[in-house]
Amino acid sequence: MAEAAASALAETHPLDGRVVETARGRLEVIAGRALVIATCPRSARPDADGSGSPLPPIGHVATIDERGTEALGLGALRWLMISDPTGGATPDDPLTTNPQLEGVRVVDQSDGLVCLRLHGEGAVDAMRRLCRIDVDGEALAPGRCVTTVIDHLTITIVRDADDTFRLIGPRSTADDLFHAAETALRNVG
Amino acid sequence: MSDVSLRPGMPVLRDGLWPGRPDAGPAAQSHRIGGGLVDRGRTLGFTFNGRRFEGYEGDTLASALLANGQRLVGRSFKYHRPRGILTAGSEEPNALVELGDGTHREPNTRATVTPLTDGLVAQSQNHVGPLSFDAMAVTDLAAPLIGAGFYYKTFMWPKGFWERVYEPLIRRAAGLGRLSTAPDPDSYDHGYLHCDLLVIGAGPAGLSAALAASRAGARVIIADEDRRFGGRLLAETYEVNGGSGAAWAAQTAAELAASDRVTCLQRTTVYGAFDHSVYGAVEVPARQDHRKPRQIHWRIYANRAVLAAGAIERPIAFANNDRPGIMMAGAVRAYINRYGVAPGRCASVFTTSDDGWRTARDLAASGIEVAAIIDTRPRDAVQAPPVQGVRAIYDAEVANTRGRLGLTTIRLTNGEEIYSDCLAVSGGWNPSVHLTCHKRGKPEWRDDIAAFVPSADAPQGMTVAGAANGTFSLAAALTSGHAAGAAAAQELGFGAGADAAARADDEPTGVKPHWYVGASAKQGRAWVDYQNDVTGKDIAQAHMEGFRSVEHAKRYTTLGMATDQGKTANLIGLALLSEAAGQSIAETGTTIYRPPYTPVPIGAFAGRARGKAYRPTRRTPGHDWAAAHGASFVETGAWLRAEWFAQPGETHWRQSVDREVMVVREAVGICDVSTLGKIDVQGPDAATLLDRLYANMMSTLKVGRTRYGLMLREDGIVFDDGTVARLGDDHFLITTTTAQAGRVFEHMEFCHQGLWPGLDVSFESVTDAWFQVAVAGPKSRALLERIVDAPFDLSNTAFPFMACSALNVCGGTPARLFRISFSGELAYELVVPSRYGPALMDRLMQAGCDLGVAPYGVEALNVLRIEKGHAAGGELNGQTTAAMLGLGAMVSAKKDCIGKVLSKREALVDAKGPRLMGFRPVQREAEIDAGAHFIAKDAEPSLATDEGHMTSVAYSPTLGHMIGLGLIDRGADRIGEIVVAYDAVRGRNTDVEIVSPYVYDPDGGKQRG
Repeated sequence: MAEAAASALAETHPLDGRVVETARGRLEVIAGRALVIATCPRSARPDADGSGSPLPPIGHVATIDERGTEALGLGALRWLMISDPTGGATPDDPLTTNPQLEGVRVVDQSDGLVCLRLHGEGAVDAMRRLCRIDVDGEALAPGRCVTTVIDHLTITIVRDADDTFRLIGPRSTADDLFHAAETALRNVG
Repeated sequence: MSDVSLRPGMPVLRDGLWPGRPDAGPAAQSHRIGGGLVDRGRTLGFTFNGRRFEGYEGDTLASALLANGQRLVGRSFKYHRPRGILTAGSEEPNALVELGDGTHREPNTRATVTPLTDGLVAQSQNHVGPLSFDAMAVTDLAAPLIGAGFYYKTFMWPKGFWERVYEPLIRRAAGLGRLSTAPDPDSYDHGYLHCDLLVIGAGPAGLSAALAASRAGARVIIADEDRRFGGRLLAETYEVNGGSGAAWAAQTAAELAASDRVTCLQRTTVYGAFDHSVYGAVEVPARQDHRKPRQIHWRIYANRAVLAAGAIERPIAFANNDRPGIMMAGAVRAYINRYGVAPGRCASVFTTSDDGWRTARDLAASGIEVAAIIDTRPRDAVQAPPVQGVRAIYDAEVANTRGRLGLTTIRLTNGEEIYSDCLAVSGGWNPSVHLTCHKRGKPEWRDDIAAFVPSADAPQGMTVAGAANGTFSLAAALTSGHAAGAAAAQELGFGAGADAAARADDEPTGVKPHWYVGASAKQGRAWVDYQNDVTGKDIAQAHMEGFRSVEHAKRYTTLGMATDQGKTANLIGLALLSEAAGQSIAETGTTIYRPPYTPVPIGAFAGRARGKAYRPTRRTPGHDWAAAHGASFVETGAWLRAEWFAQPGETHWRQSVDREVMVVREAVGICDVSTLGKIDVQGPDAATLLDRLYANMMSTLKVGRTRYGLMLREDGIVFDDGTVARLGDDHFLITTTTAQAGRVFEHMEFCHQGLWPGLDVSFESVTDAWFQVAVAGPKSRALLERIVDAPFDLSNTAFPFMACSALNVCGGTPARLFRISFSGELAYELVVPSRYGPALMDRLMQAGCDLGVAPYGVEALNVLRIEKGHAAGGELNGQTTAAMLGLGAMVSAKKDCIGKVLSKREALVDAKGPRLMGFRPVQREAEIDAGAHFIAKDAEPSLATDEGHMTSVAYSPTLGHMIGLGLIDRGADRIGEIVVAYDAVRGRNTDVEIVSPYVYDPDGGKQRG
């Protein structure tokens, strides 16, 4: 949790470090990231140059501070912010210090979403088995993100590189998402 | 080739095989000739009906069978006629076989498109006894009695015979191959492809189109059902650009494969054209590893499409035109030129076009004896050059044939008999217009080629090139394909491309339509639809009996209704129907072409969506914890919820549930309620939004307080209920029922975006982010006091009923606590980030051990809420109003909300209408049922006497008898009245007393305590 302090309760992750490796790619769980959904009021100017870098437009991914906090443009004035929580920082820190974004609303999703990384020479072929969006098109070029449906699940796809994708989806169906991605990866080789 | 002569005294076929094959060991490929595109360095072994054969890499099962002299391949559907191989493509109606064995058995597979693989197991189908002596062939003798419409006329009486006699008999006789009844062991997949241009078919036109478009810069997908690109170029001896056509095809395919703009899909059939330029395709990958998918269903999104699917050669109807050895002329060329196989040793050609002459030429060039070319046209109508050394018979027809298990002799209308074991038939070509018609396009008739061609109403973005458009010469195919590809690229903003189309000669393609040899009518049955055994006589009879519409005649005769969908049959059928009706074929028209173009296994449509992947299953963070503690699970929408937790010694679910209920009533129970929808609402207009969404007022809710909320639909019916907690001035957390969480969120989005876009508010589903546990029972406060971090005060004064707060538990874990109760007991709902869910459950169990804590499931939850009179699924059924549920006062008079106006409709607020009440059996030991209807004690059950129904029932261990909730007219005024709970389904009538719905702690003292 972005607001989490050290807890005496043990943590569990629904996918528990699962990894699949084939001749053409690797599927792994990315754990330990802090995620928030940030929504700005209409009065905000997310594209203005405030104290931090401008937030990206819909469908784009940008790193907005020196700590590597990422912003994914999910919708109108709506971003998914991802950061490394080490040191107690939260993904919304760059927003709350930006005067152009006064009134920003933050909802913690660190426990609501799971994130998988699909990487390797066969990643694109595997994505063609999963994703209705054109994997070779502009919408999923490196540095872009899109929210779509994969096997009945609402999933945000981030393309980090030609051969690397992240799949971000609901925690309660993490097992199904992993199964879908694993099956696709195994089926392409 | 062997010089075996087919003259009188010729050897007799056994089992459809030519003699001379060794009795043991693989056959010697007796009919393999030189040439072709097969790899003779790679021999493949396979079996057919248990016999071992050999073929080569590049063969199909059909070509390999022919190479081994196996002409008899199967039996027909209805009359069990011996059948062989008619074509060399996907239009094949006859050569259907079963592939594989055991659970891998696949029936009704076309041998003509089945690539030969090492170890392939194939067997013929639809016969009783050996293939060569099918006991069911007796039906052929009864043919005069069982013509078109036989079933409809015959099985009418006696009425009682239908279920006992007719249907079992028909079911036993019907069908072709046998499907394995075991689960399919193969896997299937699906995928999505996008392109600027989809080229359907990789013959000369398709390859030219793909080349032109890709060179112009377009992203191209080219798909063909064959494993090798080239189409007819692989089957003919054409030249392109001065070299062999097959070489040009290989070179072009290589260039396309090397381009990063082109996706080449071999073994892929585009089977349908759908809305929004979406095409369905099925790929059958060549797989070495059986763990890989057997088939892949592709959904292709294409900006433009070029249909270059070629054309299908049509037969001619004459008596006994179905014997093994009678083949399409184009197929004969394919077996000679592509596969290096002689379809026979002494062939004849029966043609209506110049195409037949090319067949004779190729046969002769391959060293196969050609007995005669029989052309229906006069000599001066033939444009093709004569074939040296081959006898040509003009203005002639084949009237009949002989040969029990394979062709031996053809007889002309003048009575002359010609010995042939192969008859190549060419009745002209039908453009493959199918995909142009999948969006209800109607093809147009062209007299000059005697065929239907695509009309202008093909699917948007689709153009047609080559033979599919009725241009049959190779030069025209190359030119039209190139033009279509270049034009599509240009329309999409790519350059025109500088290249010209490949060059080829314009060979003669003249044709004289000739559908049926009338003189053969008295000599035997002339088959029109081979697969469904429909004859020319059947079609004439259908017309005679009044089936004038082509759609009606089709269904009456079953013409075109088999797995091949009449690809070789339909036009002859239309022609015969037109002749009977005295109208033109254009006037008769075609039946409607629908997807799929070729059969698609259901497994391919299902793709990965089977078993675990059939639909998602939502699991709470506490799922594994519950499983480890003995939970049985129940599906609640997509969620799995713990139903009860069986303990050692409990042998019936009621024991577990009764115990869990009493734990809550007497000590403390914990229940995972994470499935409740949770929506975080923020912004200065959050309270305004909630006031408009909920029937009751939310803007007056104080920070740190929770309120029950009731949401109505536009029509005033109750939509959902839940709680609203105010976490800050502009920050609320609402909960919904498990079932309606998604719909409530959609409703909120609709209202915000569509009705009140001006409201400055945002909301997010946080259902998955939080683990929520109900802690209920008189000892719940005591339990929580052991885990909340100081200085949080849980006393009734500091944290009263309906309070909420953020706090820390278990030494620093951030949490939220709500003092709400669904059970009627002192109760809380504690919420922590999902990652801590299982550990929190453990901690609660440890901390409450001496308090008697136990987990409880949704079944106990249901009992508790019925005792307390809370409405749930049975009551929130989409038909009830707030007034019916006793919640009428919650619809605030001080503000407007969704559904308020319509909730005031006269009938909905009628005091005489149904009200939610409690019920208990008069005889306390009696059982009552949900769904039972209430009638007065002395009334006869009828719609007129129906006063309402029971919505929920449970056994109450607290009260020691069953209780129920139900809706009954004027319920509030009838407390104490006895009515009958009439259950017609279970045949149970029970006297029940109407009581308050709040049978447990009606004044609410416990939950407030």
